Amino acid sequence: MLETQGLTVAFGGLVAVNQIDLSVSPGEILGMIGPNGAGKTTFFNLLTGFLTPTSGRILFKGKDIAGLPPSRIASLGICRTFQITSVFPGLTVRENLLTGTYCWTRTLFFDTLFHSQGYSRQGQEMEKHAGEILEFLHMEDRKDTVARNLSYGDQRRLEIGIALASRREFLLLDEPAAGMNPEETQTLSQLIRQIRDKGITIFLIEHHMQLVMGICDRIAVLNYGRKIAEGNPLEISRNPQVIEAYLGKEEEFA
Amino acid sequence: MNRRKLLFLSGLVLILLLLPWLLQAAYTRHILVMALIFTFSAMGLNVIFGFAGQTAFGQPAFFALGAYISSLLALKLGFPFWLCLLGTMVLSAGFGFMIGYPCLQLRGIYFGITTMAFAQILYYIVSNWVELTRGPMGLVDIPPASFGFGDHFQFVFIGELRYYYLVLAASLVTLFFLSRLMETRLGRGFVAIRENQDLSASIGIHPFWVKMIAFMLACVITGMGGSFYAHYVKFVSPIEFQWYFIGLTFIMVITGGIGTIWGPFIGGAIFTVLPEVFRAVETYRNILVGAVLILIVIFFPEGIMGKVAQWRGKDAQPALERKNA
Repeated sequence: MLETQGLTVAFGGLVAVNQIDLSVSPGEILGMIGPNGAGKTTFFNLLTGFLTPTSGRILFKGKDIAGLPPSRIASLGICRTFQITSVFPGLTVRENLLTGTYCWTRTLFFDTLFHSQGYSRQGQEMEKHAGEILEFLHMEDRKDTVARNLSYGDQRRLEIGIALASRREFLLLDEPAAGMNPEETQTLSQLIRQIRDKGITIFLIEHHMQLVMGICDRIAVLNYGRKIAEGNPLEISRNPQVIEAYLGKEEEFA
Repeated sequence: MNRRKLLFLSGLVLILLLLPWLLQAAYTRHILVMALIFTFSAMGLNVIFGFAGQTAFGQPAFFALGAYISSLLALKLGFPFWLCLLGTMVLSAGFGFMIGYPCLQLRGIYFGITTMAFAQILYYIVSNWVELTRGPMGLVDIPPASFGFGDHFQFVFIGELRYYYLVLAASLVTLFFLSRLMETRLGRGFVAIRENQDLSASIGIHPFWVKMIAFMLACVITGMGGSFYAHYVKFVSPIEFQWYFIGLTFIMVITGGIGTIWGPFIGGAIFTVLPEVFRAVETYRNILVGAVLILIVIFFPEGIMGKVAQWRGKDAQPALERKNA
């Protein structure tokens, strides 16, 4: 579904993402881990067009999307969430979700001007879709709450909801569990699995090891901008290079 | 649309229709016309600032620009009024595009400052291109607004009363247009960018072009006001570009209710009428207007229409879905 070939970005002398080859297959949950500053979020920003790569290619369904603007990439089928909670703070939960439908709805200006059938048909479809997502997230009772008044955990769930509302087939989650308590993390794991079961491919960055090990089909490990390992959770947890990146070399403790 | 809202709106429109009959003096009617004309400036700013969240300081200069374009079309090319108005709208959109293109590459306050710079450039061009604009002497003898078919039939909007209804009709049409626009995907795009530009981009909204449409639309609406102004006052000069109007237009939008449909209209009317009301106590006029402004900001921090929305049991919500708000 998505493939990067030699993806590199340098900021002056600092090579933040260095020659990364990675592929994501349809329907899988791929995790990306690595110490802080390893280049994970930078990698996401490259995939979603918020940064332009210095070199390398990003193929999405066979099309090179490197350097396209974020909105174009979204319209091709990729949606993302952000590391720092990112919702539309002044809008209600319902309005947040309706805004998320932008990708697949049309402006229908004249239909709206005269409130024609086309207008109400699209409106109903949007409302229905938003309703389904509310139900999916178990947030029906908060649909008229202004997003900035939601609890942190609910804001993070809403963020995923907005991404779902866009009906994209490929979802990038940047540290979805950051700042969540164990219970919320548990719910999130289930939620991510359910999203995958809807047929959406998921690529996530996460520090929460239990979550990553629990739900990912495959994991890629980044350190200093390079991919140092890739494999299933078991392989990764036993990989000496990964352990070294996280805990340091054994000699240092001796 | 629920019944209470319908009642509220029809009441408001009824008052607006009857107002010139309650205040029959030519002078008070003149103030009412001016109030309606300036609401265009506020409604225009509201599109880019209130809906799309971009602090565009140059917007009120498009009012003066609209006045000049419309006057020049009438004086130099002899266009009838409706064509002047249409031409002003088209050319305002064009100028909006030209100025918006470089300015909208920037975000936040940097965008605001560059629009302000362009507004100043427009001012200097208009003041110094004497062959075309007569510079500081201004344009005089602008023909009055009229509709008709050549010499056979002409309805001239002469006098305050006729002009009042002309501008009232135009502003109500504009308000209707805006309220419907905010129900479209594009309208949601404006609000999305105001609320969170990066998130907007990640769900497929192209921030640059959506902001560009908002900016151009703001220019068109503000320019319409300028056109109505020119054919009413029949004289335009570079004074119309004054900085004073930039601040005043922001006051109109903020006190009326940022990002609401009716707010800027009401704010615009209040802050045109108020200085005239206080003319009776000339010495304290600006102090009194300032005091009212402070009171509004204290008691209606969300603006007058924001407060009205709260009274009707909702949060002061942005105009995303007016039919429910």
